[in-house]
Amino acid sequence: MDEWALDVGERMTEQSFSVFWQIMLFAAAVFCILAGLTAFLYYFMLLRRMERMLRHYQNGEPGQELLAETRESKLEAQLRRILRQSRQAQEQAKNDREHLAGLLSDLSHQLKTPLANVLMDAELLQGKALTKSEQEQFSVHIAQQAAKMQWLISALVKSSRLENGIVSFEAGMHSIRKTLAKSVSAVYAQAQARNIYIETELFDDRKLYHNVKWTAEVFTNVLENAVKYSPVGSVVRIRICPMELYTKIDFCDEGPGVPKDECTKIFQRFFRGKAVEQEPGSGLGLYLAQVILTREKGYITCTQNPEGGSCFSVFLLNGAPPGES
Amino acid sequence: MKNNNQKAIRRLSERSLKSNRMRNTFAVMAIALTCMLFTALASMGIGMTQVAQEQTMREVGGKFHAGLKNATREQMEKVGKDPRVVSYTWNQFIAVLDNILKRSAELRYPQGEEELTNCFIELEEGKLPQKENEIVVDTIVLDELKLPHEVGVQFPAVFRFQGETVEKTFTVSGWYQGDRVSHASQLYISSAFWEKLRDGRTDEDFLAWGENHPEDKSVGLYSVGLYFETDRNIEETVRSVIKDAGYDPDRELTYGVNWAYMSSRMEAMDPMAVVLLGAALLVILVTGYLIIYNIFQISVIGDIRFYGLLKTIGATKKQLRRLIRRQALVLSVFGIPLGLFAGYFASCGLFPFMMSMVEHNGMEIRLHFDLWILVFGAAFSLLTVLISCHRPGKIAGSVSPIEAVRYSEKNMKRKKTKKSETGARVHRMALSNLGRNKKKTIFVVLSLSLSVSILCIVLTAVGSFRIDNYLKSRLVGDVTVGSINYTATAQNGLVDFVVDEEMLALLDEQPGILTRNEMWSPVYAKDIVMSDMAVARYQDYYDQGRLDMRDDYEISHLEQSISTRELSTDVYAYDDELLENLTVLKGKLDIEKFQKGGYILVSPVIGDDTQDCILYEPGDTVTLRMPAPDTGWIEERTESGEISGVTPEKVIEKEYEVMAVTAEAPSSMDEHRYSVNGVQIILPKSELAGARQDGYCFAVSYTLEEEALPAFIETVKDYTENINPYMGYMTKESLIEEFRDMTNVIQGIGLALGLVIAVIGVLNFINSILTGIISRKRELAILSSIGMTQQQIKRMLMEEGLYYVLLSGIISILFGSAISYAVLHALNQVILFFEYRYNALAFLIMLPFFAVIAVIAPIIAYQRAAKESVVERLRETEG
Amino acid sequence: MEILKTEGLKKYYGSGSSLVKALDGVDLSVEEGEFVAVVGTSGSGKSTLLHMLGGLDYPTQGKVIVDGKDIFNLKETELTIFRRRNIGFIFQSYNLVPVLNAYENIVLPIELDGEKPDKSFVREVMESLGIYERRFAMPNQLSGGQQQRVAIARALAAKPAIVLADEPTGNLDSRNSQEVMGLLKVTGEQFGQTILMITHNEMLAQLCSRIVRIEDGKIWR
Repeated sequence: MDEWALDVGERMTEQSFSVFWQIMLFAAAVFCILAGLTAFLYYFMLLRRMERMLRHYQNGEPGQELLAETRESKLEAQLRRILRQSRQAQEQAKNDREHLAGLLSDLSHQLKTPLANVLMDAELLQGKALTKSEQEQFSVHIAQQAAKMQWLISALVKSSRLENGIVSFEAGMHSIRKTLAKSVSAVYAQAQARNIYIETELFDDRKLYHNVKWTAEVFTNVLENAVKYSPVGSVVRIRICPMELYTKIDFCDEGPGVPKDECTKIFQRFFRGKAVEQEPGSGLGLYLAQVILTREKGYITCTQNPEGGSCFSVFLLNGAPPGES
Repeated sequence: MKNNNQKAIRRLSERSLKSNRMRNTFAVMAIALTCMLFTALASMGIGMTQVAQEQTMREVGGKFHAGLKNATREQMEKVGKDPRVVSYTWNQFIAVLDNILKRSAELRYPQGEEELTNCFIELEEGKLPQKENEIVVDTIVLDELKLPHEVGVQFPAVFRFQGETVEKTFTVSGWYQGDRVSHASQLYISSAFWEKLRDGRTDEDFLAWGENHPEDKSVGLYSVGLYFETDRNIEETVRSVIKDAGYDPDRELTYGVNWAYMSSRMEAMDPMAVVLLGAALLVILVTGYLIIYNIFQISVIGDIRFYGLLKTIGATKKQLRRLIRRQALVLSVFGIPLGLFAGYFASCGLFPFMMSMVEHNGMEIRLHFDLWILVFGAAFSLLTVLISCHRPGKIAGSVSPIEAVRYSEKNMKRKKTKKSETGARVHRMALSNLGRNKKKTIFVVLSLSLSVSILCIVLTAVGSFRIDNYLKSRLVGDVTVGSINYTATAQNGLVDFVVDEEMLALLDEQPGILTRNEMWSPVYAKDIVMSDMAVARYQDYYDQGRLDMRDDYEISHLEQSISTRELSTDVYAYDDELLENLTVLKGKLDIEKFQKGGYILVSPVIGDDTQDCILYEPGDTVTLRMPAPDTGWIEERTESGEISGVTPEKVIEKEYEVMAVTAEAPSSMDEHRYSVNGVQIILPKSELAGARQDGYCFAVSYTLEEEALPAFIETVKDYTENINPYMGYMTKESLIEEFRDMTNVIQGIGLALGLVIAVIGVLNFINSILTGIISRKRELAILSSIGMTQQQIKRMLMEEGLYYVLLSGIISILFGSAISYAVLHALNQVILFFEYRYNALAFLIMLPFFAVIAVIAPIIAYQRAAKESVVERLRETEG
Repeated sequence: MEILKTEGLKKYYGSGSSLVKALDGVDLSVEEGEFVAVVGTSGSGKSTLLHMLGGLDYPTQGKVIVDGKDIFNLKETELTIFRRRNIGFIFQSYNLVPVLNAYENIVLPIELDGEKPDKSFVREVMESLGIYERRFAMPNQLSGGQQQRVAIARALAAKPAIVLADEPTGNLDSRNSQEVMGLLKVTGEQFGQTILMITHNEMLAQLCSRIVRIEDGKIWR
C-alpha cells in the first residue's frame, strides 16, 4: 500500500461527503414540500367544515357541533351563538309584530261594545218616540261611551308609543316627593268620596331616576285601583323603602287582595281579576304602569298585604343607569 | 388546532400560588431538598468516574488515546499525517537509571512541554533542560538520593547506553511532584545532551541494536502518544491508522491502547459503588416523590371546592390538571436552583468522605465541575416533581362538580345496615371510623410501621458495631509497626512489605520496651506437595462442594492444585509470644519444642465454609517445595516479550512433622493476603529468619511500660511521617480512631436514611389526619349540632389517631424486630466487627412521637375548622 | 324557540327499601327569553332537577336537551365544554373563585374558552348590576348581595343559552333578595337572556314570567 492508494482513498471520502450532503438536501426539500402540502390540506378541510356548518344553519338544521378544546370548536360555538342571537332578534321582531297585531285586535274588540252601544243609541235617538228626558239619557250615554272609547284609544296609543319608543320619554333624577304628591292629589277627591284615608309614612325626600309626569300617572293608576277596590272607610298606606340599587314605594290597601295565581297576570293587557270583575275598570291601568316603569328601568310587583288586602310595590332606580346621564 | 385558552389557567395558577404562601414554602423546600440530593448524587457519581478514569490514566502514564511503541521517526510522521490523528506527542526512550533502586527512573528526551503535560507532569519549579548537563527530575528520585527539591541541585545519574556505562552529574533545571501511582519516574534531558550521546546513530541503528539486545529494544526509539477525535473504538482506529500508513500493526509497528478509555465508565468504577449509587437514586426518587406528593395532596384536598366550582363553570379535567402542574413547575423554578446550589456544596464536602470508603490509591481528590451534574440534578428533580403532582392533578381533575359544591368524605363502600346499638360511645365511634375507609387505614398503618421498622433496622445496625472485635482482629500488643500494606486496610500493590530496618533499629533503642515480637514471611512461595491422603481429602472436600468455587479462576486453580498436587500456602513464622495467640484445633502446641525446628503447624483449608476441612493430622508429614538457596532464575515472558514472572531453576523439598492443627492466625498477625483454597502454615522462626534464609520481617509488635508508651508512639509517628512514609504503625488509639471514622460514615448515612424515612412517615401521618378531618367537616358539624361537645369530638379524633399508632406499634415491633434480626444476623458473618445486638431505641423514639402527633394534630386541625359556627359550617357544605 | 327541554327525567338513589325517587319523570320545556321559576318545598327535587339541567349530575333515565343538544350523550370533557359555552350558573353560595377579583370572576368562563371578553358588554352588565365600581375587589371584600350580583354578571357575561339559578337569594336578607330578583328580571329582559330559577319562596317567584311547581319529584299542573 502506498501514497497512491491513500490519495484515492482521500478523494473517495471527499466524494462521499458531497453525496451525503446532496441526499440531505434532497430529503430536506421533500420534507418541506410534504409539510406544505399537509398545511394546505388542513386549511382546506377547515374551510370546508366551516362552509358546511354555515350551510346547515342557513337551512335551519341544528347541525353537529364539535365539542373539544380546539380553536375550530370554539369558532363553531361562536358561530352558534351569533346565529342564536340573530334568531332571537328575528323572534323578537316577530313578537313585536304579533304584539302590535294583538294590540289592534284588542282595540277592535274593546271598541266593539261601546261602538255598538253608540250606534244603537244614535239609532234610537233618530227615532221619534222619545221623551226629552229619555233623549237626554241617551245623549249622556253616547257621550259616556265616546269618552270611554276615547280613553281606551288614548291609553292604548300611549302605551304603544311608550313601548315602541315613539314618544320622547325623558327620565332624570327628580324628587320623589313631588311626584308622589302630584298623584296623591289627583286621587284625593276620589278617595274623599269613599271616605278612604291615604296615609303616607314619613320619609326623607330622595331623588330617584324617573319621568315625573309618567311616573305620577303610574302612582295615580295604582292609587286609583286601591281606592276603587278598597272598602269604604279603609286606609291606603304609602311607604318608601330605600334599598341599595332601587327604592321601593309600597302602596298597601285593605281591599280584597289579589289571589296568588293572578299576581303576575294582573299586569297583562285588559286583565280583570275575578274579584273585581263586577267593578268598572279598563284593565289597562296596571299594564300601562308596567310599560312606563320598564322604560325608566324600574318595575312593579304585587304581594299580599300581611294585614289583609294587597300591596303594590313600585321599584325605581336610585341612580341613573349606564348610558344615560 | 389546540384551543388557545391557556391564559385563564395561567392566571388562576398565578393567583393560587400567591394565596398559598405556606404551602409554597413547604413545596419549594421539598423540591430543593430532592434536587439537592440528586445533585449531590450526580456530582459524586460523576466525580467518581472522573477520578477512576484519571487514576487509570495516571497509571498508564498519559492522556493519549493510543500509543505507538518503539517507532522510528519515519513511522511516526507517516502515522501522524492521518487525518484521524488530531495531534500527537512523543519522547525518545534512552535508559533506566541504575542508581535509583526503589523506583524505575526512566531517562527520556521529550518532544516538548506538551509531552510533559500529556503525561500529567507539571513543573513546579524551573524549566525544560536546555544545556547539555541539565535535567528535569521528580521528587521521588530526589528523595531517594536525599537531595533537596531545588533547581540547581547536582543530580548524579548512572545508566547504560548501547553497552556502555554512562556516569554523569546533571544540574537540575526543573523538577515536578512525583506521582506514586504511575509506574516509573520520568527524567528529561536536553537535545544537546541527546545529540551528543546519540553520536549520529540513526533510527535504523537503534533498531538493529534492539534486535540483538532485546532488553534495549526501546532505546533511541520514539514512544508516541496519539490523540483522535473521539475516544470511541480506539483500537479499531489505531489499527486502521497504522495500516493506512503502511505498517503491520502486529509486527512492524506495535501499539497500545490507553485502557483508561477502554473500560466503559461503569466498569472502571467499583461495582459496589455502582449498586450503591443506583440504590441511592431510587431512594431519593421515592423520598422526594412522597414528600412532594403529600404537600400537593393536602393542598388539593383542602381546595377541592374550588376545583369543583371551576369544573362547574366549565374547566375541563385537563385544564385542572394543568393548573396543578403549572403551579408545581413554578415552584420548581425556585426550588431547583436552590437545590442545585446546595447539592453542589454538599457534595464538595461529602466527596472526600465517599472516596475514603472506596479504594483510591492515595491520589489527590478534587471534585471537578461538570455541566452534566446540573443537567442530571435538574432533570431528575423535575421528573420527580412531575410524577408527584400527577395524582393530585388527577384528583383535582376528576372532581365531580356536584360533589364539590356539596363536599363530604366519600365512603368507599356503602356498608349494609349496622346492627348495633352501642355505637354512640366515643371509643366505638373512633374505632368504627377506622373501619370506614379500610384502604386508607391500611395505608396509614403500613407507612407508619414501615418507617418505624426501618428506623429500627438502622439503629440496630448502628448499635451493633463492636469495637473490641475490631481491635482484636487488627492489633497485637500495644504498638505494631509494619509497612503501610500491613497497617492499612487497603493494599497498595506498589509498596513492599518489608519493614524498614533503620526504623526498627531506632525503635529498639527506645526505653520502656517490655516485649518485642517479630512476624516473618518468606520471599518465595513454599507450596505443599500433597501426600496421597491429602489429595484424597482435598478431592473429597471439592466434591462435597465445600471449597470456594465462586468463579472460573477459583475453580481452575482448584483443579490445577489437584492435578499438580501442589497446594498453595500462606507461610508465616513468629516469635514465641505471638505463637500463644494461635488457636489449636487438634494436637498440642509446645512452643519451645516447636521453635527448635522440624515442625510445622497447618490450618484447615482457607475458605468461607471450610473450618473443618482438615488435610493433615498431627503427626503427619508435610512436604514443602521451595526454591533452592542458590538457584538461578528464569524469566517468563509473554508473547510480546514482557516479563510476566520468574521460576526457579532448582527446587528442593523439605519435610516437616505436623505438631498441631491450628486455626488461621488472627488477621493482626498476617499480611492480609490469602491463598485461594490453600492452607496457612506456621514454620519455626529459624526456617525464615537467619542469614541463609529467604524470609523478611513484615511487622514487629511491641508492648511497653505505660509511662513509656506515649514517647514511643511519638517516635514511631515522627519516623513514619517524616522519614519513611511507607511505614505505618497501629496503636489502640489509632485503631479506635480508624474504627470511628469508618463507622461514623456508615452511622451517618444510616441515621440520615432513617431520619428521612421517619420524616416521610410523620408527614404521611399528619396528612392522613388532616385530610380526614377536612373531608369530614360536614359530618363533624352535624355532630356538633346534635349536641356533641367540642371536647367529645376532639377526644374522638384523638382516639382515632391513637388507634392508628397502636396498630402500627404492634405491627412494627413484631416485624421490625424480626426483620432486623434476620437481616443483621446475616451481616455477622460478613463484617468482622459486627455483632447483632437487639435495639429497641427506634420504638422508644418513634412511637411516643407518633402518639403525640396523633393527639396534637387533630386538636389543632379541628380548632381551625371549628372557628366558624355550626350553622355556617353546615351551610357551607350544602349546595 | 325552545331552548331547554326535558323528557321523562328520572333520578333514583339507592335501591330496594332505601329507594329515593328524587325526580320521577319530569317533562319540562322552556322557551327562549322566558324567566321561569321552579317552585317547590325542601326535598321536592328542585335542586336535583337543576343539577340535571346543568349537566352537573347524570340522571337515572331521561333526556335533557339544551339548545338542541342532548347533553347526556356527551362525554365528560365535552359536557364540561358545553357547560362552559352554553350554561350560566348562579348558586346560593360560594359562587366566586376566591383568588380572582370581581372582574376576573365575571369573565372566567369566557377566558376558559380562550375568548376575549366583549369589554363594552361586560361593562354594561356590571353597571346594570351596580358593581362596576367594585370590579377590582376580591370576593372576600364584597357583601353577600354584591357577591350574588357578581355571580349574576358572570352568568350573563358569556351570553349563554340559558342561566340556571339555584336559590340565588337563599343566603340574602329580604331586601337584598328583592333587589337581586329585580335585577335578574330586568337584566334578563334587557339582554334577552333565558333564566330558570329554583326557589321555595313563592313571593319572589312572582316576578317571573312563568311559575312551574314541583313536588315529590313531579311537576304539578
